[in-house]
Amino acid sequence: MPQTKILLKNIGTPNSEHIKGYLKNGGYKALKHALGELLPEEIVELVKRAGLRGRGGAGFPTGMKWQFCASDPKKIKYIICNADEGEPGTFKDRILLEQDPHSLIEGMAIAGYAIGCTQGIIYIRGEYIYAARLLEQAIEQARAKGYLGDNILGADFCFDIKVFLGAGAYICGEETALLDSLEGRAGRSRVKPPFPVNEGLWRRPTTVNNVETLCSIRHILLNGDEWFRRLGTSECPGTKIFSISGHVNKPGNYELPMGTVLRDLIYEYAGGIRDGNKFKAVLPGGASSPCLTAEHMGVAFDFYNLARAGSMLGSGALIVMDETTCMVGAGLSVARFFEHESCGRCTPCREGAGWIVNILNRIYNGEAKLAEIDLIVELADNMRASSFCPLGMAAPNAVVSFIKNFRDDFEEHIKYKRCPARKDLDV
Amino acid sequence: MANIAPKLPDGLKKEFEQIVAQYEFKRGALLPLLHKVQEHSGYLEQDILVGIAGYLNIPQVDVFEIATFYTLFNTRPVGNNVILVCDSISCYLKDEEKVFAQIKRILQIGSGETTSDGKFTLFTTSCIGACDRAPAMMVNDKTFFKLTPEKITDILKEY
Ligand SMILES: Cc1cc2nc3c(=O)[nH]c(=O)nc-3n(C[C@H](O)[C@H](O)[C@H](O)COP(=O)(O)O)c2cc1C
Ligand code: SF4
Repeated sequence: MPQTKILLKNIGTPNSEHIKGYLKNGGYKALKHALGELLPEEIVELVKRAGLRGRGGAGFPTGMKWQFCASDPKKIKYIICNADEGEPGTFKDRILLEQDPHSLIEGMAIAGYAIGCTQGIIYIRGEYIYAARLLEQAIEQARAKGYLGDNILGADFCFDIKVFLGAGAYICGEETALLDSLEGRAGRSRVKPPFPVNEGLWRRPTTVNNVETLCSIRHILLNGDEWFRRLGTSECPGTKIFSISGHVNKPGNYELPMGTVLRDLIYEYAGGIRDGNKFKAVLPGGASSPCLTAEHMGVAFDFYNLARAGSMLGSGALIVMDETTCMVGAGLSVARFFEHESCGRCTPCREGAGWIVNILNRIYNGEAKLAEIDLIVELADNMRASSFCPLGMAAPNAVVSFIKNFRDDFEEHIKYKRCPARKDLDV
Repeated sequence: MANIAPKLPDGLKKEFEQIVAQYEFKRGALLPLLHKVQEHSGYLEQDILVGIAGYLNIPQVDVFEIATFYTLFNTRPVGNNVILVCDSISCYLKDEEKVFAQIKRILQIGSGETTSDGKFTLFTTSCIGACDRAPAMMVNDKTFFKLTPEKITDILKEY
């Protein structure tokens, strides 16, 4: 079966990153339709009926978020695109930003009109400097053609977009930390409530949406909510871009209906496991998600079904591991990431993340005691229960799931100074 | 805070004014200003951080915190080229360790260090969104994909 390319349809077509190529492929028609024929509240209703859920990780219903923000009586509001894409294993927003930036611009302009904002901001991670420059050019092109600026397409609607470059901090992908970063602070999550839709950037109502979410908007406007609902599952309509990496033959971005099962993702689309090896595990939603194993091949990938399977869809980043993977080493890599990215504010996350790295290092080198395996699980329980923000709560997910499913890997490192999976490893 | 004379970078006065003018609340200009300074001088000198604090009228300690909080900001001098090698899980699974070892061998430096000729500074970095073409690294603004120890020699020669 071919992919269901809707968001990725323009990718690879000539000049897809330029407004010329975009207009040839029907670009800015949805914005024309919105401004010419729809009231802002009709657009919010349409997005609600479509059942679109945020693609940044949390899966919150987009139309509802827009409604909350639109109905706040404060006058100045913002629409912010979260282009921080920092979850390890995720590279779907990069391709949209680099090859279809006008889809995002059009989606933001429609969102701005629906919510009642005059200003949009794209917060893009510092490492995506190439995409940031490209976005600046695309915005310039859109302004020149009157799709951004004052009285867009002759309507009583003014809207412009600014690009803001992050500087290397995973936590700034969390929407309230992102807002702090925009305010010239170290990115640290805020207490909710108040939610950003009421008190966001500079305490003004703010909608934060992921790149993929905003790129979906124009398709819903052009094709309607019923069309959108026919794609995907009843709980999670639409397509999803799955970023598949690790030990598969064909790593890449695959756009498929929500609810595509793991077996198809790996074997039909990503070309199966490399070197004819056996599948061992997958992190289905980036480094923050607990792993799935061979018994989960039939699990449908959407927000609800993955939660039921004990994991999460997150950003839709599948990190696939084959039978030669040392789960202690893989766990250590994930643990180091969280140790480095903890913002340092609260003790359970700051200290816990460091402890886990410490213990895993010693297990990896065969220097730990057996009981320390369970010490990691205990530390993890504390981190989940008492961390201040979702980063600390999710940080131990992968490591604990590795211990649960592949305890032998950990024990043999300690007991026999060897790795059952990686024979070449000198413990 | 430390006893440092505030200073603003020579030759950036106009750019500073242009950046700050874009922000309704001056503090919002902080990250863009730091990016601008780093683009200009490679790293953020202490006296300039103090100067920026005064310029935006915010506490010095805040500016110091931000300069050290964000990993892309350098608070110490770096070489002419900065190498960021991704060491997150997808690159780890594709033998990033061998690539990193090769870079260290060729340049004779470890993470966070600069070569004696001042040409390269080496860091590891969190996921850079190139996992389908792992292992990956950035040299300055450019990303290199599907690295192998052999490819490293050729890439480093380009600089
Ligand atoms: C630690 C952490 C990191 C996150 N990183 C990102 C990110 O890089 N990109 C993103 O869109 N959402 C990220 N999120 C989710 C955002 O907080 C937020 O839910 C999302 O941007 C909302 O947009 P959506 O509703 O369109 O998904 C992150 C959340 C957490 C807790
Ligand atoms: S859990 Fe605590 S230390 Fe970790 S990122 Fe959140 S606030 Fe910072």
